[in-house]
Amino acid sequence: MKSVLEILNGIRPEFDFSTSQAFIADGMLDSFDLLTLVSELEAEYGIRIDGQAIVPENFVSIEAIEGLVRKSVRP
Amino acid sequence: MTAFAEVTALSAYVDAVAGVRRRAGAYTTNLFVDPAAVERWILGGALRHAELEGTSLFLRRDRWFQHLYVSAPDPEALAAALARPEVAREGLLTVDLLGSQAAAGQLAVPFAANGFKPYATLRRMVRVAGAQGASEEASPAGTAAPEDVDAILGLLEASFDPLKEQLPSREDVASAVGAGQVLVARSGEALGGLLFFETTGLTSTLRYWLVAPGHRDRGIGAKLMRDYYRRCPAVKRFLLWVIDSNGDAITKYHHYGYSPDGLHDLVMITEGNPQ
Repeated sequence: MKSVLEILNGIRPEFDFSTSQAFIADGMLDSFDLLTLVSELEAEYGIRIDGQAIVPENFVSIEAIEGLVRKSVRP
Repeated sequence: MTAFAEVTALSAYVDAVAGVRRRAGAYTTNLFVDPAAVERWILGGALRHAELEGTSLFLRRDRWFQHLYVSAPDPEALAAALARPEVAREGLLTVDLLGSQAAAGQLAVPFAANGFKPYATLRRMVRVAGAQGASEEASPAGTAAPEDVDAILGLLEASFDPLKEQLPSREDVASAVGAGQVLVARSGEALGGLLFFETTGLTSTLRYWLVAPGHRDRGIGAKLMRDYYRRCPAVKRFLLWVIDSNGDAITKYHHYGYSPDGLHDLVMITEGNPQ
């Protein structure tokens, strides 16, 4: 199973996600990237991420995304 | 009589969107808007909201028409909202539907069923810093000054269709000039060309790049582009949107190292004379 970091590197290989705690403010992820990321997280971990959880603060860092994955339900 | 009321606080906008998300089964939206931009629209009194059929609809006034943004629990609720007479009474509306070509086409279904027609398609192109492209040696153009704002706006309005290209307001131009994000090439007293960009951290978006009629074939465009890259040494990803049918522009962007990333913007407008 891929880690969150590996998924991020697959979406935006030009960035080093291990060095940032502010992916949105640092311009590493935009709204469109979030849609791709959500789809990949759902497919990789077999979860469904609730629509109301798709807000920038859940995607600012690897820890925030891992927290979102843990909170998301398996359909 | 209209169902739409002015949005006076960012919190009202956020609450309206979150309320729909909570009820959503198949959340449907074209809201990919920077909250800072929403705040500017609210301050300018340009944003109105209505909740119809469980769907939040936002209208942003722009020149002689309005941009429509939607936040719907599912496509059926969206279609029901768009069918309401309160929407039809609002005159010329334009909507941007974003995603892969297939996803944008799917999003278009409820709009097409309610009088919206395809008007243009834009594609996003990306350039990763260091990608092979044109030479990036320094060749300074210059940043725009506050007294250039009206000339910049005039050039943009003469060169682009605001229904397709989301042109900035005068306040947006002034703000970008203040931030040093508009480069200009001068030709005597006139502006021979301009390049308008927006940088957030490691990503920069090229919003408008043009050479004025009468100033073409003098290398002004290339000079502006080189200066843009030179001023963004920390940027790793450059983005832009281009009209899908504008082959000349797409060829130029390829020359500068950009390539399509698969994201499309389908612009639809309500029936009637666009201008």
